[in-house]
Amino acid sequence: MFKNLDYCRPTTLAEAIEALQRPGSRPLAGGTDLLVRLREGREDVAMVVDISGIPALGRIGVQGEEIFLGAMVTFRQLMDSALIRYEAPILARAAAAVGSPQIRNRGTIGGNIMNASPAGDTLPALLALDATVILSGMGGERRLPLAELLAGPYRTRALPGEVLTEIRFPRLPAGYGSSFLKLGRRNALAIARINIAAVLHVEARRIRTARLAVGAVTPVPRRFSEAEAVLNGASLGDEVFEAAAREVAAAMVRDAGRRPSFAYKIPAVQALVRRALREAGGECVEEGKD
Amino acid sequence: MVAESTRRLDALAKVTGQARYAADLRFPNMVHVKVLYSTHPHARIRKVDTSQALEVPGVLAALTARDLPGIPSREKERPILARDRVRYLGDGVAITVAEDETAAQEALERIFVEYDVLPAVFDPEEALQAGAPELHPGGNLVCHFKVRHGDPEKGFAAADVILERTYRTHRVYHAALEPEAAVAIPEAGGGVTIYCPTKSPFNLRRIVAEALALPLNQVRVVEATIGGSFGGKDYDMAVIAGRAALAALVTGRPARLVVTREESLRESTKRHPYVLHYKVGAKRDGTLVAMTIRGITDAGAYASKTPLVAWRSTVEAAGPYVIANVHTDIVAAFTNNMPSDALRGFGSPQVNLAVELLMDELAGELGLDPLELRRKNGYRDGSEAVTGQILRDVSLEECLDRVAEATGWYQKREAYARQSGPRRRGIGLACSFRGSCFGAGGEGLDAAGAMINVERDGSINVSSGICEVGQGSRTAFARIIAEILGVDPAGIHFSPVDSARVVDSGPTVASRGTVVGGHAVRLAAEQVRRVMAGVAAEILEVPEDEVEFAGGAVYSRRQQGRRLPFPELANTCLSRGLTLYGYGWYKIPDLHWDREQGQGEAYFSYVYAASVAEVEVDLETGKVEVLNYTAAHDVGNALNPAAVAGQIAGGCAMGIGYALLESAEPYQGELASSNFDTYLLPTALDTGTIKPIIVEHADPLGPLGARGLGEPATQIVAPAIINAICQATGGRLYELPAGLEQVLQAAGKREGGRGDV
Repeated sequence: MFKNLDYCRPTTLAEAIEALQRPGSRPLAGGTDLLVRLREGREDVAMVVDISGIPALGRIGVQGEEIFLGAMVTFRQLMDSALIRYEAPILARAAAAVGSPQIRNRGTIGGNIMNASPAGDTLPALLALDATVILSGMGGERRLPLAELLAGPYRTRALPGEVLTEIRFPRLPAGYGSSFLKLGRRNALAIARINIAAVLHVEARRIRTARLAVGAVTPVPRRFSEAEAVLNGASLGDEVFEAAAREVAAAMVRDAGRRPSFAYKIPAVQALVRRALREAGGECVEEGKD
Repeated sequence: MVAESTRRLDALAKVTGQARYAADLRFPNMVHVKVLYSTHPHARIRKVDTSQALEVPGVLAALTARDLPGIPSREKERPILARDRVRYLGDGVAITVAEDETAAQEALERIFVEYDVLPAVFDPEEALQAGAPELHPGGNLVCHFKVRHGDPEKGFAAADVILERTYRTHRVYHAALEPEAAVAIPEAGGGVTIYCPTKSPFNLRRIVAEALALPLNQVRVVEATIGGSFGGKDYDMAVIAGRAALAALVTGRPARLVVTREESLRESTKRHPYVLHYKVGAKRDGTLVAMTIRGITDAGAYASKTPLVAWRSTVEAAGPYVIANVHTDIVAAFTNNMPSDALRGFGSPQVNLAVELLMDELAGELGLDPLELRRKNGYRDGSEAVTGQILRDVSLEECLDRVAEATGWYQKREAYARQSGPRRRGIGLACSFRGSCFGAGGEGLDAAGAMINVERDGSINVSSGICEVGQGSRTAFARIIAEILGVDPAGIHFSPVDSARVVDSGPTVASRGTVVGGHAVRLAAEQVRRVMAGVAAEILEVPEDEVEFAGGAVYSRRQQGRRLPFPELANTCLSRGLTLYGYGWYKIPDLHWDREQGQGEAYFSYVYAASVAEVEVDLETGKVEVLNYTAAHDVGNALNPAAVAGQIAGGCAMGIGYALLESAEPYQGELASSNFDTYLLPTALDTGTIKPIIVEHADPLGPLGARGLGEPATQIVAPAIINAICQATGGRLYELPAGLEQVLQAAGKREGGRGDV
C-alpha cells in the first residue's frame, strides 16, 4: 500500500531520536492521523519511526505540583485515569469526545498535539490547563508552552529531528471550576465545529483567574485573553459571561477574517462560551459550599 | 397475530467474518485493474496515449473504449469506458491492468489524455433552456410525466386558504460499507464469469455482453455476498464488472477491480435531487380541494432509471390524500453531474418530504392539529386516488392511529407548544403511501422465477433470480417455503444468483423482491407440495386434501396418527422416479395506464405507513437530537418480525442521515466529500430510540399477504423529523439537509434574529 516507505520501531528514546535525524522521517504514534494522510499520498515521508515501543512515553503521573503525561498516552487512558478525572476532568472529557472507541484506543495525546488540527479536541483543554510540552532532539530537551508550539493549521514549531515526549501542566488550585464543551455535527466521530475549555478560579464569588480556550474557530486553537481580561476580577454572573462571549466572537473575527461560516459561528460560539463559563462557575459555587 | 422471528440465514457467516465478499476472492494468477477517470465534467477526448503506462514494471495492459469489442453503452447510458466524450467527472477513460494494484495505480499517472473542454451545465433548469450544452442527441429533457385529475383552477377558486411553497432535496450516497468490486474469470470457450455483489445481475450481464460482443450465455454473473446495496450496485456495478471482464479477456487471467471509497463517491450514482413547487388549496375545515405540483430533477450525465424514478414521484407527489383537483408535472434533465439513480426510495422520499412538510404548514395555517388534517383527507378503503384508481385494502388511518397512540401525540404536541429555554422539544408526524413494485410506468420486467429442489434426505436447495442485497430476501423466501412444506426454514439452502442457472428475474429494486420473488418461490414450493401430497395420500390412505405439511412431517389433518416424516416422504417420491424439483414464475398483473393524463392503475397495490419523530433542538447551536422515532408500517404479513424491525431501524438511520447530516452535492460537478470523514452518516449515538409498530393487513396480491418494506421504512423518516424540528424551533424548513446552520437560522427567524458582533 505504501510504496518506498521505511519503518522502524525503536525501544529507547535515544534510538528514536537517532532514527529521526534521517531526512523525511516522521514519528508515528497512534497513526490515526498520519496513516490516513499517508494513504491519501499527501505526506512526503520516507520513513516512519514508530514510538509505541518506548515504555516511558506511556506514563501518567504527578511530580510535585505538576501532572505529566507521556506523549503516547492514549485518549482511552486519559478517559479512564482516576488521576486525570480528578485533577483535570476537562482533559478526560476532551479525550472522551475524540472520534470513536477504536480511535480513542489508538490515538494519543502527543499525536493530537503534533497533528495541530484547528479542531483537535484535547487542545483547548490543554491550553486552559496551561500545558507545556517537552520536545527531545539531538541537542537534548527543550520545554515550551503549548501555545507557542502551535504555529498554524497542521503546523508546529517543532524542529526537524525533534519528537514530543511529554506534556506537563500545573495542578489546579482549590476552588476552581472547569468545563469542556464540544459541538459537532453528530455525536461520535465528529470533527468539532467548536470546542471550548474553561477554567475559573473563584474566591468569594469573584473570579480570581479565568482561562478560556476555544478550538475550531481560529486557525490555531488559542486562549482568548481578551475574554479572560473581562472575566478576571469580575463577579460570577451571566452579565460578565455574556461580555466574555462577545469578546471571543470579536476576537475570532479579527483572527480569521470574515468567513461565510461565521454567520453560524458567531452566535454559536457565544452560546457555547456562555454555557462553558456558567458550568465552570457553577462548579466553583458548589465547591464553595463545602 | 405476529409470526415468530427467525434468525437471518446469513447472520452468523457475516458476524463471524466467514462471509466472502468480492474483494476477498483470490484466484491463481489474478491481475489488478485501476481506472483513470475524466478530469473534466464535459469534454471531447481527442487522444489517449497509453504508451508510457505500459513501461511501468508489472503493467500488462492499458485499455480504452477502443479495446472493447462491442459498444461502450447504449445511447444515453453510461459507458463502460468513454470513447469520444466524457460527460461527468466519474466517467472512466482508460483502465490499467497489472500484477499488483500499486503498479496499476502508477501506470494511471502515465496515461496522457488530450481533451477539448466543452461547456458544461450543472443545473437541470439551465440544462433545459435553449442554447444549453447538449449532453445527448435529442436534447437534455429525459422525461416529463403528468397527472391530470379534475380542474385545479376551479378548485383553488373554491379554497379558503392557499399555500405556495418550494422544497429542495439534495443528493445522497448509498454509502454501502462495501464499495463496488468485481472479479472476472476468463473461460475456455471465450466467455467470462463475473463474481460481484449486485442487485441487477441480468441487466449487468446484458451491459457486459454488449460491451464485449458476447452472447448472453457467454457472460455468467454470480452474485457474491453483498456488503450493502440500498439501491446501488446496479448500473455502477455493471460498469465496474465490464472493466474487469475486459481486463480478464485481454490478459487471459482472472482480473480484480475493487474501487476505493474515494472512487466510489466520485463515480457512483446518487439519489435524485428535486426542486418541487407546491400549491395547495383547502377549505377552512381542512378539506383539500386542489393541488398543483411542478417538479424538476437532475438525471445527471446518463439516463439509467431516471424515467422510472420520476414516474413514481409523479404518481406519489400529492401524498396519500383525496384531492379532487390535481395537476402534477415532473420533468428530468441531463446535466454534467454524476448520474442519479435508485436509492432506497426511488423517487418517493423527495415528494414524501415535500407534501408532508406542506401538510404540516397547512395545518398550522388552518389552526388544525397535523394529525387531524391527515385523518380528514387521508386515503381510506374505496377512496379515489389522484390517479383515478379506486383503492382497496387501505390501512393509512390505522397506521396514523397506532403511531399517535403509541407516542402520546396529542399530549406531547400540546406540551411542546409551551416551552422556554434554549433546548426545546418538538414532535412531528408524517405519513406515506407507496406503490408496490415497478407499476404501470415501469418498462422494467416485473416478473421473477425461482427453483426449489427437495433432496432425498428432505433438505432443500433453492435458487431464485432475486438477489440477497441485505434486505433478508432469502430469509423471507425460506419462511414462505417452510410454511408450504412444513419444514424448518433454518435448514433451507440458497444458492447465490447465478445468471447461468436461474432465469432473468429483473433487478432487485422497488421493494419488489419479497413480493415478486416471493410469489415465484411460493409457486415452486406449491408444485413440489402437490407431488408430495399425492404420494403421501396414497401411503397414508387418506384423501389428498386432508394432507397437512407441518413440523417436519406430513400427516392427515383428521387422523393425526397417520403421518410420515418429511425426509422419508421425499426419499419415497424420488425412489419412485418422481421429481421434487419445482419451478415458479410470477408476473405482476397487467395494469391499465393513460400516459397523457396520468390516470389509471399506477400500481397493483400500495403500502401505507405513519411515523412520529421526537427531537430536542438546541436553539442556540442548531444541534438536533433525535430522541424517539416511532413508525407504524403495514407489512401485510410480517414474514420475519425481527427483519421488519431491522428494516424500520435501518430506514430510520438512513432517513436521519438524509434529514440532518448526509450530503453529496457537487459544485461544478465535483464533490467536496471524498470519504466518510466528511460525508457524515449517522452513528449509533445519533439515532435515538426506534420503535417499530407492525400493522398487518394482508395484501391479497402479496405472497402470504406480505408487502414490501425496505423503501417505505426510509422515505417517511425525514418529513417526520423536519416537522418535529419545526415545532421545536417555531420556524419552517424547506430544504435538506437540516444541518446546524439551517436549523439555527430557522430558529433565529422565529426570534427575529440574534445580535451580531
